[in-house]
Amino acid sequence: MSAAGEPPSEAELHAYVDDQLSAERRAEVEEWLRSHPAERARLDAYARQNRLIRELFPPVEGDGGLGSRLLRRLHRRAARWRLAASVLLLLTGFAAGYGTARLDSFARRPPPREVAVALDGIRAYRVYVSEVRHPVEVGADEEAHLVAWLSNRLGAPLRAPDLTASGYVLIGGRLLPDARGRPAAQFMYEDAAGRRITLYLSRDGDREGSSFRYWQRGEVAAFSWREEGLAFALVGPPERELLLRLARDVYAQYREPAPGGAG
Amino acid sequence: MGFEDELERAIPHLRRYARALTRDLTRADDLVQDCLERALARRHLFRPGSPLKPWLFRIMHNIHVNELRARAARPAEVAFDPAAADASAAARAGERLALRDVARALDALSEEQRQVLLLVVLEDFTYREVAEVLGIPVGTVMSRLSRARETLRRALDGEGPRLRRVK
Repeated sequence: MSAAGEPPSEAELHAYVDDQLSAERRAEVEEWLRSHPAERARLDAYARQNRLIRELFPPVEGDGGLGSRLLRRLHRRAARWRLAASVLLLLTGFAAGYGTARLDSFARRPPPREVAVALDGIRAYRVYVSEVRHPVEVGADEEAHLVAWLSNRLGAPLRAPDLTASGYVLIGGRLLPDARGRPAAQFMYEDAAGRRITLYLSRDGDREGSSFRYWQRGEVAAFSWREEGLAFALVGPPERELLLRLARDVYAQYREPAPGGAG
Repeated sequence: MGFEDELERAIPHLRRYARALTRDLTRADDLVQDCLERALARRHLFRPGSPLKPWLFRIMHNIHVNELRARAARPAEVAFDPAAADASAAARAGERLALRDVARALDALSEEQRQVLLLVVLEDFTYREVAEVLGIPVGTVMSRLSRARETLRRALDGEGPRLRRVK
């Protein structure tokens, strides 16, 4: 890489860590590092990173059936081809047309509600959580009015769950359009340190429940799920344990019978 | 060694890198499967005698980048195992703290820096091979590697500013 005795370049220092130097140059770099303890420490840190990364993603054993699955399919395909080359030639045009149409319909099918609600909820979180003066449309001082209003607009009995057990206090909520242009609700909560989380809800045509799904992008994460005709997204900072605890709390409170049998 | 044998031999390596890239076992294997299918379909484009592994990684890299572009507007779903989430945080915290820190620090790197670092560290590719896999000059590989390692070092040793400031 470079002449004997010369101080190593930055690239060579990395190559030293990754064991990509010739034995000869390696010895020279080692010698040079003896009189450069700061660089020595930096390279030691890099070597430690390498060890940790390898430990974090250990080697994978086997092919998980991928190879045999693939080869089986290929052999089947080859056999079929040999047997019926002429027929296939005729049919290829039809098959291609059919395949494209199907793929197309898959691509256009809207994502399930628990996916869409997570995306919408995260989007709304980004917009409103940073608001200092007007984070909510209706404050928690008018909680009963807020809940009644949003329930009315969504056409489903909502509630603003009590999350004080986890240190989060309701500051209010707002009505907003989801990606389909239908009304959605956002309740916002804050902890003592001023950190905010939101519960985003929209109607779900399907009454069937779903499992929890976890989403993360940059500094925002969400748990989303569907239950009893509503789609939920609990959105907040990317702290899984915290969000899971809150999501479970919300889930449990929505399963309790409605207070006062309101309708 | 024949093309198919070499391909099969590369699968565990592809899976490891795919797992590190996607952090999701299912998506990782989907990625490898797509890569294998594409590799077989393009088998005639492979120069016999040249190493197969970098060629395969390059195919997988391109599929991954295309997927990222398609999903760019969407947040990433993170594999979530309720049972694992229930395992007490404290139990994992102790000895696995360093690993979690590394995982978090890797997440905070740019996709480009992470790819370079993972290829170098996990698969022992030479810098030239990494350049070939990613389709970038060796100089760019070196600068990304250098920046990635410095960022990780600051994050792990608690030196300097935090990785990503909250806006």
